[in-house]
Amino acid sequence: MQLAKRDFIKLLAAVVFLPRIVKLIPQTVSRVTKAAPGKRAPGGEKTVNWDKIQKRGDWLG
Amino acid sequence: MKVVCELCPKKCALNQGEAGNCRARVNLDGELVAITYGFPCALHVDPIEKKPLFHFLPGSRAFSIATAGCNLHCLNCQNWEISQANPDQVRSFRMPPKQVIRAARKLKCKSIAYTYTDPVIFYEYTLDTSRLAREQGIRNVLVTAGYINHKPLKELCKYTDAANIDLKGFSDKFYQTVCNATLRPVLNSLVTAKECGVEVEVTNLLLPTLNDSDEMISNLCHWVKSNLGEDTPLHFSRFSPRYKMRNLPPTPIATIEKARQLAKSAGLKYVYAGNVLNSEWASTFCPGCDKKLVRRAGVSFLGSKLKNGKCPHCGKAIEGVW
Ligand code: SF4
Repeated sequence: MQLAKRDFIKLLAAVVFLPRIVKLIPQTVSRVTKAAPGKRAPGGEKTVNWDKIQKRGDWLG
Repeated sequence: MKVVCELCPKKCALNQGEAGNCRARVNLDGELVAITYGFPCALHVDPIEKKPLFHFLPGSRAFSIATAGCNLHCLNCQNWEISQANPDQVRSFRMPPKQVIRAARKLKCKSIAYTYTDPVIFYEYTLDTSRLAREQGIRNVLVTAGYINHKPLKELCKYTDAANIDLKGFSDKFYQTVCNATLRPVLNSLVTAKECGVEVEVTNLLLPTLNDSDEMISNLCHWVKSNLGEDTPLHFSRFSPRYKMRNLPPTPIATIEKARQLAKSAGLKYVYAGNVLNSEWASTFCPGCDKKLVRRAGVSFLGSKLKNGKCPHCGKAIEGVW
């Protein structure tokens, strides 16, 4: 069955513009103050040297 | 899903996988994650005077921790290797809150200091550790730029005993151009901490030509006096060229002396100078009779004559936790 010319134009408009309109609807946003803890050291782990810790961290202000 | 972090005034709106301006908080699958929680990159035992806190348990040791990242980006940062690094560029220790408490005990520290970078960006780690420390009778100390929103700060103040809060300059333009922040939230944080009963000390690092005019120093001192009280300890710290500000010379000693005079004439009772070899400027004098009460050289504690927090000569109570 052939679409009427007007219906065809409507369909075309929907196909072209609908995705754009959907994009304009803002994404869900969550506002938070507290964050969940991370699970692993982001830059890798190092081991604690207890003797070194007891010396003052002089390079740190 | 987008996540808006409302911890600090930057209010970063993070898309999936994005990190905030502080680099320590990431949107992972629609959930805000503090990626450095439990992973400090710096651990040290420092004298409490190094924070600097001069009116809080003098001569005691503070177990000091920091994680990578910062929500400020000061061009003169002293600890830029960790504060301005991405957490994934820095190796860290695995140390959950319970272990921090254990370590502080083992190392005979009376307090835990959340310091070096800024505890604001490792907020949850600081909060959980502080809660546990409080239960175990260990004090909590913040060393911070105070760039945090009111609600989370109030929550943290419940467990905080003392704080040294930077007041980096008394101008919004200075904060914007040198620190990538703004002045008002810092002033609000100072007042909030004081209202919550935290023992507050203030540090102002003097950068030649940028925040050392008579007018700016004087305005800062008057603000401290009117809003925090004349008993609030104020530390003027000497700048030495660092990070992106190697073009400036170290702060002249004369500038530090000028700042001390301006603070005294504004009516502040306890004014100190940091990074200066002058033990008089690091010692505490009685505002009543001008006798030397607590002797220090730099950040070394040399002795106290205080009796139950009072001057033994004239009986004046000296602000602080002694
Ligand atoms: S704490 Fe970090 S992620 Fe959160 S608003 Fe501040 S800079 Fe952005």
